[in-house]
Amino acid sequence: MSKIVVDPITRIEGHLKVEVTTENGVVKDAHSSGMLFRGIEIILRGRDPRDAQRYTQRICGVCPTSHSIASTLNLDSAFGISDKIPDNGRIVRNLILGAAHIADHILHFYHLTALDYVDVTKVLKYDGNDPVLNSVKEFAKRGELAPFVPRYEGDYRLSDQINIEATAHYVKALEMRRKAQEMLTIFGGKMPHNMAVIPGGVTETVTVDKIASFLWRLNELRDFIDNVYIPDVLAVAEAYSDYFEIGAGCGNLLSYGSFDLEGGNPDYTKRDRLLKQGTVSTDLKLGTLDTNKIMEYVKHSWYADSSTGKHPTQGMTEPQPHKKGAYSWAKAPRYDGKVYEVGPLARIAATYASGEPAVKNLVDSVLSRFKASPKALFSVLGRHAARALYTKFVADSMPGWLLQLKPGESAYADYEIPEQAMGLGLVDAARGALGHWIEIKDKKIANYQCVVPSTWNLGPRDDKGQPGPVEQALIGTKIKDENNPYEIGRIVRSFDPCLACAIHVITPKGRTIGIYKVC
Amino acid sequence: MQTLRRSPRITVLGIGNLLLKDEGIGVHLVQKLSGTLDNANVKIIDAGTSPDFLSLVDGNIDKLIVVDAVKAGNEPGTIYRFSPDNLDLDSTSPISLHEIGVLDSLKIMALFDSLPESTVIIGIEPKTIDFGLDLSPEVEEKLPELINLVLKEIEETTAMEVKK
Repeated sequence: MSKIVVDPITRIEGHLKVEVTTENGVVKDAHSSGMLFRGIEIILRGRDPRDAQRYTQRICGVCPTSHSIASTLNLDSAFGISDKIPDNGRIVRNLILGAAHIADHILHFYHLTALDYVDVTKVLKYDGNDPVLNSVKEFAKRGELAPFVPRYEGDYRLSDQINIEATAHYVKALEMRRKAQEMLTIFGGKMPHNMAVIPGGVTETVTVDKIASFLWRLNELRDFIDNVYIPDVLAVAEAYSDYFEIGAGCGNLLSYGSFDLEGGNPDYTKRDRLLKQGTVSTDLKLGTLDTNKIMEYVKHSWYADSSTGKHPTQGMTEPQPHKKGAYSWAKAPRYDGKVYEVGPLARIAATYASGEPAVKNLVDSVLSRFKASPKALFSVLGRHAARALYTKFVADSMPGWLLQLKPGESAYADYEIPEQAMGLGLVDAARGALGHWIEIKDKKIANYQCVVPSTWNLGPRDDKGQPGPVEQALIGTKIKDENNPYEIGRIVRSFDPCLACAIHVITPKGRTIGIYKVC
Repeated sequence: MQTLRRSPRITVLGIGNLLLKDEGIGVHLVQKLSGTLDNANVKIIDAGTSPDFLSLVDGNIDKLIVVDAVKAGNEPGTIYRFSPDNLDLDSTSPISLHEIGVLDSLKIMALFDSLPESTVIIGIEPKTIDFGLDLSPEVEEKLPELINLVLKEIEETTAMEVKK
């Protein structure tokens, strides 16, 4: 028996440790640990409720926009105005969130995932005139490819030509992400950490100029998604089709849905959304979302056992860094006592199961191309395909929203902060179901809890010993070469992990950066 | 032939997490500096917790000033000034991903030949990186000095003229 520790596994954005035990080339056991304690609740207690929008965005550098939406929906609900947001406000929020998700998923595929499948060193064989590819080639010649590591040797299957093209697309993707972020700032004011999304609606007024400015960037992005991003994902899928059978996971998916198509229903679990809310298992039947079924368990997390099995409204953060048997700072959220995966696959599957025709067409066309059954969606490639199709579906929906905007009309409804209230904000962030819960007393925050997507996916075992979604996706995987366990990286990265992101400390030459000690 | 000249374009990028005390120094600096400079060619950007700053920096700037917490093991409050040449950009096995954001951004900019003519990193040794919105007294005390250093960089650059 041997142990493989992959640490860290997120390429850019977080700190996560995965420990895998193998026996005869098969993963026998897996432990995923979030290595940083998250203390947003401690910071927010006693503050003006509206601060939640400003500060929760700072939790993460990759999902600030999703946190701004979740916290604002949460405050809308606590202030009793969730059904009073003007259409302009609702739609501008959708456009801001959509721009963020497009930027995010392009970033994930090209800058985090592609390097697991694309061999950038093949650029050495490039003999054309593209200045950027030639620049990458010069760096590769000198062995300087730092942004393209860590990566494993040995299992690159794409042709030289596709490897070189994909490297060029890596560069193009940076430009496209910039376009998507510019699009976001048209209504969001700034990126990262937009200022426009606030309780009651948005601060920005809608003008024809802004709509036009948004639209031409969107058109360019849609062109890139259709003609570069999706073809590249499919090219990877062609060459690595065995990954439709690797990394299945727990078989249960949970979606909070995203993009409100109407604002009249104050209940976010029932409101009509572009991407649907609900639970889906391998039978692809859509179950109703009931947030009362969400509980967080801490038997294997470094928190006091007395805080286990609580609904987020009762949630407590009582660190116990030396607790025996614990191995993660992440709690283990469960739905109805069972393990659920969140993310683009969950929202695409929920929407597919609801019978939404555009999503059904997109998913069925990919499945038929690979002669696969819907079960194949529960896999490494299923997650990547769902992420790409989601990006397309959202981008294709946005021109219609722009047309629904009414220039000159209000995008904001006024409100009063109540003495006492409870609130709930639900939305799917890029990485999956994101829930914010607030309790207000004396017009101040008495409790604030966030249950974030990576906690669902990368959380540890629960009190019953059920492994989390990523742990389950790893267990049973065949490892070809223990010294070079690329399967593990590919499985974990398909979930797009983002734990305890947002630390930037740089070190001058020659010094090793320290491992963070939290307590 | 007459050479057209213009004033240099400068971007100050404050990086950090506001929720983690001294880690947020870059953002604290941006908040103090924003609106104080009357020069359309100087952009002051709160890069917050962005994993990279490739989307935030325009390709045509002449000088980039990055402000961040820098952990080099000296006394808290120690101020650093260095250029990308002093950084180990070629490290192939980063120990922690926390360093990748800034380094990778610089590296990718270099790779695509879009690193500004002059790039400088101004940093300060943090004392406390833990949940909290305020700076530690050691770092807070040095904030005016840090701001002056950034202003000096800006002044020195604006004093120069660059070819159009």
